[in-house]
Amino acid sequence: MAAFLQALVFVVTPYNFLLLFIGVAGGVLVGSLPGLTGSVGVILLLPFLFYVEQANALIMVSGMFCGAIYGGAISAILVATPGTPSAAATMLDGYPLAQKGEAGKALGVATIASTCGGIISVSALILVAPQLARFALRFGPPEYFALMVFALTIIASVSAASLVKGLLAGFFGLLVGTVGLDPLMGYSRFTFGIPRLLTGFPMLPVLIGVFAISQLLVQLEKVGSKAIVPPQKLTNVLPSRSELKSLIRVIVPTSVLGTMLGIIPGTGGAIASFWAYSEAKRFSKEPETFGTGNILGIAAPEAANNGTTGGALVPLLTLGIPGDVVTAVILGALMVVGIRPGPMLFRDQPEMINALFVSLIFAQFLILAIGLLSVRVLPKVLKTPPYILFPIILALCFIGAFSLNNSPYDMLIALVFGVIGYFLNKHGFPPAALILGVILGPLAEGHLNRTLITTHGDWTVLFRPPITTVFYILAALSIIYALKGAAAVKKRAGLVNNNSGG
Amino acid sequence: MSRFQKGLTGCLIGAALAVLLSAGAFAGGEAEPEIEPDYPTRSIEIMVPWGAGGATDIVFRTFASVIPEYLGTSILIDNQPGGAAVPGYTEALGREGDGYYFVAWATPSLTVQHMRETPFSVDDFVPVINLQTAPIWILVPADSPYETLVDLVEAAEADPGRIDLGNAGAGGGTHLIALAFEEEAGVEFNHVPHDGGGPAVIAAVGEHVDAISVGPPEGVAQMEGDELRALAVFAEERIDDFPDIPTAVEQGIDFTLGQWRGIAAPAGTPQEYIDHVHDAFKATMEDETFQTLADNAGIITDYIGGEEFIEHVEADYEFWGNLIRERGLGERY
Repeated sequence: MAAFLQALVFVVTPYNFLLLFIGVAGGVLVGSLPGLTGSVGVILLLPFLFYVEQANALIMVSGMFCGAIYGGAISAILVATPGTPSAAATMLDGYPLAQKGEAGKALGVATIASTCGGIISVSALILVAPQLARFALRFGPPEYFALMVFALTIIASVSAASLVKGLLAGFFGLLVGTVGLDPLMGYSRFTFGIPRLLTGFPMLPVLIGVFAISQLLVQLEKVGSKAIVPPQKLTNVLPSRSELKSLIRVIVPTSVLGTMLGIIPGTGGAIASFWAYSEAKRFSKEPETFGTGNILGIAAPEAANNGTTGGALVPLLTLGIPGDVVTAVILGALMVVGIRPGPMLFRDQPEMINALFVSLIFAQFLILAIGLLSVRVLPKVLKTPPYILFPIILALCFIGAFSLNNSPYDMLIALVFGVIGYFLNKHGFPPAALILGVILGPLAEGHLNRTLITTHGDWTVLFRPPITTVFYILAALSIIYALKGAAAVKKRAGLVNNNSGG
Repeated sequence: MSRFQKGLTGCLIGAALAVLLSAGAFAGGEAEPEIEPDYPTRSIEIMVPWGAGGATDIVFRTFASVIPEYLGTSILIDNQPGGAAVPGYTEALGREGDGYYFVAWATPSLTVQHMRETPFSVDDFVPVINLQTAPIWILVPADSPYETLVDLVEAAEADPGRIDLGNAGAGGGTHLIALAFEEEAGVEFNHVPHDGGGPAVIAAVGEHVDAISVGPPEGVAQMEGDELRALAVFAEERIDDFPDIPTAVEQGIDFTLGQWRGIAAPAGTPQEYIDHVHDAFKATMEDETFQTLADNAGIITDYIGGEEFIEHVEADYEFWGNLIRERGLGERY
C-alpha cells in the first residue's frame, strides 16, 4: 500500500501529470482522426521518449494507449467516421443519435461508458492479472477458430433490415480479406500480377472508405434540399437517472466482456465492441430501436473497447506477450527506453508497475474530464456549413488512409471502398457486415490453417472441449436468434403490406 | 442543382482530384543527378518496405535519432509495408539515385525475388552498408522434454514431420532459416506459420507447438520469466547478452545463419554519395549514445561495408535461391 501511495505521489507531480495529460489528450486527438490509431500515436511519441526518464515514458505511453481507444468514438458519433476499427460499432447508434440533434448526449454516454469500461478493466489488470493470463494461454488454434466462427455470426446482429443482404455483405468482406498473400504458403491470391495487390486490402483504408467516405457521398445527395443536421441540443446532455440505470446494466457486463477479450492475445477492440453491441441488442426489450440512436447501442461497444485496454496489458505485463498491434508497438517503444515488460518487471521494478497502474487509473478520469468538457463544445462542429465541413472530413479521411503507411495506394483503396460503401448504403447492405468479414476472415483462415497443420489434418480437434464447445453453442444460439429475428421482421413487413394493400 | 450544391460538389471533386494527382506526383520528377559539392543539402529518405514498429523499422528509427551529427542532415523513414516488400521496392524502382533516396536492404529483400516474379531485381540496388545481423534462436516451452538441440533433432529423426516448429511467417526469414536448418540436420519438422514473432511466442508459451524459431528480442521476457527455454542460437559465437545459450555449432550441428539488415542505394547513385552515407552510418555505429540505445532495443550491430557487403549479398542471393528452388517454395521455381 505504501508503494502504491508512493506511485500516486509520483504520478500527481505537476511534471508527470502534464506528461500523462499530453499522452491522453494526444491519444484522444490521434484516435479521433480517421485511420490514426494508438499504434501510430505511440510511434509519433517515440522521438520524445528518448529524452524522458523510463517511468515518464511509461506514463505517456499508457495515457496515449487509453486516450486513443476513446478518441475513436468522437468522430464516429459526430461525422460517421470511426477513427479506429474498435469505434466502428459505436457509429451504428452514435451517428443516428447525433443526426437527431443529440450529439452531446451520444458523446456523454460514450464518455461515461468508456470511463467505466476502462476502470473495470484496469481493476482486473491490477487484481487478477496473472491468473487471467494463464487462462488466456489455453487458447490454441482450435479455440481461436471457434471464437472467430462465433464472431462471424455477429454479422446477423448488424444486419437490421435484411439477413440475406447482411450475409451477402459479410461474404463480400470475406472475399476482400482473401486478396494478397495467403498466410499458409505465401502464394499470391487474386493479385492479377499487380504488385500492390500483394498487400491485399488493408483493413483501415477499407474501414475509412466503407464508413466515412461512403457517408459523405450519401450526404452529398441531400445537400441543398434541407438542413443536413438538425439543430443540436446542448442542454441535458448527460443521461437522466433512469437512463443511467439501464446504462449501468449494459456497461458493467460489456466492460467485463471487453476485458476478457482483451486478455486473449490477438482479439482486440473491434471484435469486442461488435460482440458487445450484438449482446446489448439481443438482451434489449426493443431490439428494433438499435441502429436508430439507442444509447445502449453506444454504451455497449464503448465500454467493451475501453475494457480491452486493461485486458490487453495483462499478457504484456505478466508474460511479456503483446496481444495486438498496439501493445506490440508499446512493447517496442518501452524496450527502446530500456523497460522490458514481462514477469520480471513485477519483481525487479515494482515501482514502475505501480506508476503504470496509477497512471492508467488517472488516464480514465482524464478521459472523463476531457469527454465531459467536449460534450458541449464538439457538437458545434456540426454547425459548420457542409460545404466547409465535408471537404475537411474528406481530406482528413485521405490523410488518415495515407499516413497509416505513407501510401498513396491506401488512399486509392479508401476511395474505391468509399464508392462500394455508397452502393451498399443505397441498397440496404450493412457496411458493418462487410467490415466484420474483412477483419475476421484472415484471422479465421490463419487459425484454421494452424489447427490443421499442427494436427496433421485431423479436423476433429476443431471441436475439442471445453472452450470450443462454448463458442459453438454461442454461435448456434446466435444463428437461431438471428433467424427468429428475421422471421419477425418479415411478419411485420407482411402486416404493413396487408394494411396498405387492404 | 443549386449554386451551393454545385460549389460543394466542386469542392469534393477537387479534393478527390488533388488526392489522385498527389498520388501520381510520387512516381514523377526525374532529373539527372549531378554531384553537389555541399551534399547533403536536405533530408535523406530511407524507404523501409516493412511496417512502422517492426524489427527493421526499429533499427532505422534508432539510427535516426543519432545519425544527423555524422550525416550532416536528418533521415526520413518512409514505410511502405505489405506484400512481402514487393510494392515498396517496386516503387523505389521509379526513384532516381540522387543521393537523397536509399532503401532498407535485408535478407527478405533477396528471398522474395526467389519466391515470386518481382518487377525489381538484385541488380537494381547497390548494397551500401550492413548494420545488423539478427540471429535466430530455437525456443521451447519451459517444461518441454527437449533439453538440447540434439534432443529436438533426434525427436524429429524418430518421427519425421511430426514435431511442430513454429515460425513468424510463411516464407519469411524465421521460416527459411528453419528450413535451411533441417536440411543441414537432415531431418524434417512440421512447420507452423504465425502472423509475426509475437504470436509465435504466444503459441510456444501456451504449448501449442513443440518449438519455435524466432529472433531476439522475441522470447527474451519469457525466458526471464521461466516460460520458455532456448535450445540453441544459430550464430557463430554466443551472444554477449545471453552467454548461457549455446550455439548449434557447439552442439555438433555445423549451422550458423542469421538475418542481416542494411542499406542499399538505387543503381546509378554517385559513389561519392554512397561513401558519405556509408561513413555516417559507420560512425554512428561506433557512437556511444547510439550503442546504449541499440543495447536497450536489443539490436546486435554488425558492420559489413563496401565491396565485402556487395559480395556478402551476392553469396546470400545464391544461397537462398538454391534452398528455395530445392524445397519448391513460392511460385517462381
